[in-house]
Amino acid sequence: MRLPRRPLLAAPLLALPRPTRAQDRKFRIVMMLFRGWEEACDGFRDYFAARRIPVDLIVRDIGQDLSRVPELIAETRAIRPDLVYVWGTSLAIAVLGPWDQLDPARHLTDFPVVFNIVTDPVGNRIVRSREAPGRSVTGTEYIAPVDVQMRAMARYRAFTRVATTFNPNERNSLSVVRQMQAFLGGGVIELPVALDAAKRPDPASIPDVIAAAKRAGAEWLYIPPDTFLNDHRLVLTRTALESGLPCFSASERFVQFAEGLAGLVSRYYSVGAFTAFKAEQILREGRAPESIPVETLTRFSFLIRMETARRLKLYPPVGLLRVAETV
Amino acid sequence: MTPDRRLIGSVLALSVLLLTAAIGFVSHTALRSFEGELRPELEREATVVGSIGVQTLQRALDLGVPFDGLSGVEEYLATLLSAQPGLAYVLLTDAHGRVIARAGETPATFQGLPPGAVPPGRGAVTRLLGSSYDAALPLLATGQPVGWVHVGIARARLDTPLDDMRWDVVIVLLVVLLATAEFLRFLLARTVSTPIAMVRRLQERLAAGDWTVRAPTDMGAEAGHVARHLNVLVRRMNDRWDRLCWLATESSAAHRTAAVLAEVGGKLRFGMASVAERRGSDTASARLPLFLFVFAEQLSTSFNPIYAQALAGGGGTFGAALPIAAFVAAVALATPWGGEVVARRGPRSAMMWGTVPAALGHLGAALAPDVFSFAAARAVCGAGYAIVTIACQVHLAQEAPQGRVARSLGGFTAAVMTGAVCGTAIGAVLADRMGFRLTYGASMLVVAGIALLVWREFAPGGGSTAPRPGLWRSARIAFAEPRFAALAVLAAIPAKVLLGGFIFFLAPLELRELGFSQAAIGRNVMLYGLCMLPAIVAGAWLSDRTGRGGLIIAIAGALNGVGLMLPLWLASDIALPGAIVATGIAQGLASAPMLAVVPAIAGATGNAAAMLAFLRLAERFGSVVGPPAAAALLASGGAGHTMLMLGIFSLVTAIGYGLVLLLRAARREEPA
Repeated sequence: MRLPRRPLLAAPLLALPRPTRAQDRKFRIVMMLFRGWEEACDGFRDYFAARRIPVDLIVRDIGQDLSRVPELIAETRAIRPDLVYVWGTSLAIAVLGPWDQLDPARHLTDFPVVFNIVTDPVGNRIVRSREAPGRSVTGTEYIAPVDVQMRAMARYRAFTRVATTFNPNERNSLSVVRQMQAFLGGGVIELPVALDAAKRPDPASIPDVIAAAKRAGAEWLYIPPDTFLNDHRLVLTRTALESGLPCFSASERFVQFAEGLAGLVSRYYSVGAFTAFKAEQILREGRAPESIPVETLTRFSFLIRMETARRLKLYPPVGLLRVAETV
Repeated sequence: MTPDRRLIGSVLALSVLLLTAAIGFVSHTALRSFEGELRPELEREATVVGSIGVQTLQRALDLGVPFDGLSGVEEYLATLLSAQPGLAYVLLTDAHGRVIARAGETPATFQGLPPGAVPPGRGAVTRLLGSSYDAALPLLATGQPVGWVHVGIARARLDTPLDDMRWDVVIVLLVVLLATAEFLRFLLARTVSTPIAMVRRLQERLAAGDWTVRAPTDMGAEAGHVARHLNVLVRRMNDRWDRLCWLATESSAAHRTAAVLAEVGGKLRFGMASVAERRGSDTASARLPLFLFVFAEQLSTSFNPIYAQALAGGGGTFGAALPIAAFVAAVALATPWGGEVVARRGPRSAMMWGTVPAALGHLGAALAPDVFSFAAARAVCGAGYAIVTIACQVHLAQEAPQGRVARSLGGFTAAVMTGAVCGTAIGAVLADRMGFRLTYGASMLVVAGIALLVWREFAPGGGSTAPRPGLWRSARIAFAEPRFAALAVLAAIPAKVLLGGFIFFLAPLELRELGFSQAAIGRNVMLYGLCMLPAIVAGAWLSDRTGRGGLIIAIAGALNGVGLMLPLWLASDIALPGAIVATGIAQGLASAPMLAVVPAIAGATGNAAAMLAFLRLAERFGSVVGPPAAAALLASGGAGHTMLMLGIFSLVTAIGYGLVLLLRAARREEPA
């Protein structure tokens, strides 16, 4: 496996030739967010600015409350935008519905849609296939293939047992854990976060999860893309660090903005810009979303938090440092 | 030895002596300075690799990884080592010079730098450690060295290019000597032996009383001077005769004097309207264009299949064999037609006509975009080759003095072989330095030069409109003779199958597979011609001495077969040159006897010329079949298998030929 020293930032996309003809009117884009504005949204917005494509971004955030989805859909229909941007797996499933069982009353079917920061859109039935979405929806993925992540983890430190924790309510996490099992077999220790009486994940159970992983002899704690864990990333990674358990993550925030040791990640900003590139194909070139494949960036960043490595005394191999980005 | 050969011999010996001394001195000096220049180059290379390694390790230290916490170092050093060919080792020592991690072969005498060694301001600490150049670069923590990265380059890296260079020098020397001999032979023939022969002929005519002759005055330098003197002498003699005749009519004793003069005039011939003596030519001067033509053609021998394979997209062996087969097929098909051209237009004109397709073919090969156009260009070249070689052969035969036709035709083979040896070696060196396409361009220029040479130096004429016997009738007569049929099928064809299939096709490809450089491939292929030259002389001598040409042909075929089976007993890098040497010796031994037995076979039928032509045609057939046959064998079972099968083929046909000879001998004895 060969990893680039730097991630594929938006630069190549931003450097595309600029439009020669000024746009007469602004494109109206409704941005449906699940947990507020973050780096992927920056990348999406900056792409249009760099390409001098006039857009009117109408931002709506549901604050992780999926019960607000019908209201959001109704408002969007009233706005009648040129394009809808949907952030996150859970929100995309709720807003778009399964591609083969669409219910126009509950799901958004009237406008072209691009999704961003979504895990396994085919397994989650958002699109029929990556090559041919089968509906007026396209978008990007941001997670490196699970087998590639496992190999990258082994390159830092070889392992026989790896623990993983996740919110059992999040389909994106479950999908990744299933793929881990398929690739590693018996070496995976599954430690779902405990649910409270209301079937909601309980942050208080995180230290127990870490303790259980240590007891089971795990050499790594793998963190799948998971909104609940992202919200509690500091507690999760710090507890693991204090227990001497290195964390490997599928998304950058656990390393960049917490205390995880390493991760093979797509930079959210780059994925956002890549999603905007697909939006441009729909808005400016008039392409149907059905004809635009769902893709991931072809290069990922191997992120290493050196402070965590020093505290764990678990230094990256010299060869890995040649290609890794350190924070 | 005739006087001109003695002259050529002594001039050649002197040239060899002077050239060897000069080239020896220059190459010795060049090789020494080469080593002097290469060493810092190697040290710089080691330093660059070391600095790359240090950069990564230093980054780890700068990121807070302690020196003793560095992990995966051996794996990393191994990737560094493999990334740069020619490195002997890469290793990491601590500040005390103890080896922490290593990759590659470290010399037994290796010692790290002592504690307290001062890091250089720039670059590396370089040393000569046993058989390696060692460059050491420091790893720093808080400004102090905590470790050293050592990169070693084996001195063998120096020795290989030096060895290559020594070989190049030897080959260039050899080629220069052979080429010098050809050019000297030509120059001496034009300026010395031909004028002397002309003067001798003139003297003979004058001595016989013919004072009407004139020496040609278009000869340069001393020869022209002598010719002009002779003409003055002849003119004065004529003047005096005229004056004598006039005085005789004026004197009182005119009647008696006139009678005496009439008697003298009957014995001598005088006159101003006389015909000039022919300047004449000789076989030595006729060899040069042939030598140059074969030289140009053979420039590409060592890389033809490699170039073809590259044009074919790297893959199939058939792609590589196609241009060789196209060339040989064109030569075979154009041979009878070339003979017609020569007979009709004369050798000079035919040579000039033949250089046109040859030059175009070389140009086409240089510009070929794919393997098919390359094969077409080679076919065009082949047509030119057929015409020019036949024209040279006929020219040599026409110019040969009475009773020395065989030796003169021996000169044909020698010129071809000399051209082949020089061309193959120089071609490989050119291809190594200028690339394949430009080498073809060089061939084209040489061919153009030949056309100019022939136009300037050769006398026109020699054509004839006389009817020639039909082709099919001659073939029927030739092949009806079993000894000729056996010679063609069991000796001539197998020899050329081996030449085309092994020397021209398989050997270059396989030598490349073994990792030989282009120049080394050329050297090895050249071994064939080099061994063949003395073997031709030895074969001719043995054949004349024993009178058993047939036996020599059979033994040579068997020797060739055994030579190709060498991979059974030896490693490929020895077996392959060995097989090339065996093929050169065997084919050299057989070449003169093969020509010599034909007149003996033809004896009764009086069909020797036609038989020789059909022998050549059979050889061409073998050359056409050879490369594709070798390609098919190579595709089915690899190089070793191909050599073995070709060896068995040669051995079996040689034994078959031997048996035919034995049967004929037994039948001859029976009636007795």
